[in-house]
Amino acid sequence: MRKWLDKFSPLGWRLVSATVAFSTVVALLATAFQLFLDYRRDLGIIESTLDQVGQSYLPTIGNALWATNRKELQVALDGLARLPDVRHVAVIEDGAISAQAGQPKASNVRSRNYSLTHLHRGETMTIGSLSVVMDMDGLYRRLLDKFWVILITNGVKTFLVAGFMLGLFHLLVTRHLRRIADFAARQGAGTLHERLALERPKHAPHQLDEFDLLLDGFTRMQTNLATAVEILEQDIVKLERAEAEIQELNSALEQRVADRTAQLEAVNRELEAFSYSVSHDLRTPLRSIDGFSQALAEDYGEHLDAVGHDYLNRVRRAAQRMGLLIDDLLRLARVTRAEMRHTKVDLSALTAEVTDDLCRHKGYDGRSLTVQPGLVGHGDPTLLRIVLENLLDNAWKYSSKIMQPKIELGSVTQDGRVVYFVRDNGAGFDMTYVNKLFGAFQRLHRDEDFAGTGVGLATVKRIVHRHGGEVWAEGCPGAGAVFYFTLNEPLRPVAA
Amino acid sequence: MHNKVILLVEDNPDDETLTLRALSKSKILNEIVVARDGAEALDYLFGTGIHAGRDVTVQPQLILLDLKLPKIDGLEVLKRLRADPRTALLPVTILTTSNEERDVITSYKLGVNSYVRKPVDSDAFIEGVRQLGLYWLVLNTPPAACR
Repeated sequence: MRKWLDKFSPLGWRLVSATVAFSTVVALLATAFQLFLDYRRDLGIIESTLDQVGQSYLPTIGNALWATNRKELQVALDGLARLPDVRHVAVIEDGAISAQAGQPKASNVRSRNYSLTHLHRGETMTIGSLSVVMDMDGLYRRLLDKFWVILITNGVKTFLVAGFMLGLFHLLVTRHLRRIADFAARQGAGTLHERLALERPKHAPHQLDEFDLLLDGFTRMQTNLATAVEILEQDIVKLERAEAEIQELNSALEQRVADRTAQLEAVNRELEAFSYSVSHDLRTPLRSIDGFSQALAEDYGEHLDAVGHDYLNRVRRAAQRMGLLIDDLLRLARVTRAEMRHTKVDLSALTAEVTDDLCRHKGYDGRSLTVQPGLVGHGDPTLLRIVLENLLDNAWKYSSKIMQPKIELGSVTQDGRVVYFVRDNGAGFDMTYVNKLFGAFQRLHRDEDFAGTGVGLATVKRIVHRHGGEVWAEGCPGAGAVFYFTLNEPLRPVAA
Repeated sequence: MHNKVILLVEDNPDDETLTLRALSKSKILNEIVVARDGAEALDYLFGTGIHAGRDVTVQPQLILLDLKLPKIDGLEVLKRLRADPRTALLPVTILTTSNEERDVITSYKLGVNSYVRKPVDSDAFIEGVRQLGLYWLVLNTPPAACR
């Protein structure tokens, strides 16, 4: 039953069970009160019966006892015993029962003793006593009967009311709720124009109930939702359009990237062909110029005076310088294009090799160099070697004119990064022109003072940048220079 | 030993003149045969074309090979002469203007014996040629088949 009810109408079941429980409690309390009132009334009846005995029977019984009229006494007692609820009556003389009627009973009784008196010569004499025992069983039985009647009628009434309420609740509430639930569950963007209708009579505007309010609220919610859906749909259309545009842009961008990549590859190929050609074809005439100048000086030197030889020497110097320029330029281009491999590089060991080479080819004194032991960097060994070559070559070159050159290679930690440096105590430079230092073909010294092409530091800068590092310099004319560089991490140039 | 030939493969007449001058200044008295392109060099080595009928059992003691040549370039010449058993073991020195890494690598892959870049400074060039002659013609021991 409960399961079925639960399934049929859980809300109705809950309402009815709560109502039944509450009305049962109230009914029980009311019954108890009513039974208590009945008990009081019945008890009053018994008491008035006993009072009545005192008033109407006592003189008769007293006279019969005085006259020792046994028969009359017995008749009076029998009459008394027939009164409702009177169980047992007895006359007691000198502590013993002298006459009685009815059955004696000990429990569930109410008794009263009366003194039997007789007026004799103007004197009231006590001649015995009358005991009347009233039986309470009748009272209790009546109360019990009444209790059952009330209980059963209340129970039946409650059951009927519960059933009625359940039906009514279903009719008025539950079926509508179910309909609303089904309708709400079916609601989607496409059904917002449908209107929820309940099987119930229309109410006048002043008689609207909660369901009318609910329907009204539901309709308004649908309208609002429809508006929101419309806005969303417009937004979606906009988004789709934007997405299509983005896709279009993306494909255009991809096409552009592909185009640019192809262009870049073409340019790279051209550059490569150009460098190849430069390295072959541009140097060939220089060798002719230098070679035949030399041949002229050697083979026909006797026909030339000192000025002629000087001119020939100038031709040769210019040709050789151009050769160096071409070589440096090609190296700069190569450094830009070279594929990099990253590895741990022992800079101290690399410096030893570079120093060996430089000292052998350029006649530098390796003893003037101090190298911090265990210097390690991360990068391409070939490119880092070029960096060290250029920086150390510069350091020796620009300190070649002082008595005790001191060159130092080391590292310091700045802001948690390793900064490598090459320091010399040579010619130094004017910080005003520090910006020109790393530009290709830019020189701060005249070729007569210090020979060079102005490509070395540009090469260094390009290599360091390719490693994601920074390079900067500090210097002072006549007091030496320090060149700093980092690897991997970009670092703001330190202003001097 | 001095009757052995040096084959100079060089298309540029200036370079040819300067190389010959450097060789003579280095007191190298071998006969110098000059081929002015790759095809002529191969003709000489294999006794074909204008060198048809040449005794190909007699091969140069040293080949000085330029890379940039008309018709057949130096690398191709190197490849072909290394592929032929008659010339496979001949000492070949690339003598060229460029020192492009890829040329160096390709030359060594094709089995060159030496790669020398002609410097602009002709003093250095003459010294280089002198050392080349000293090394390949005097110091070095070629396989018996090439002697």
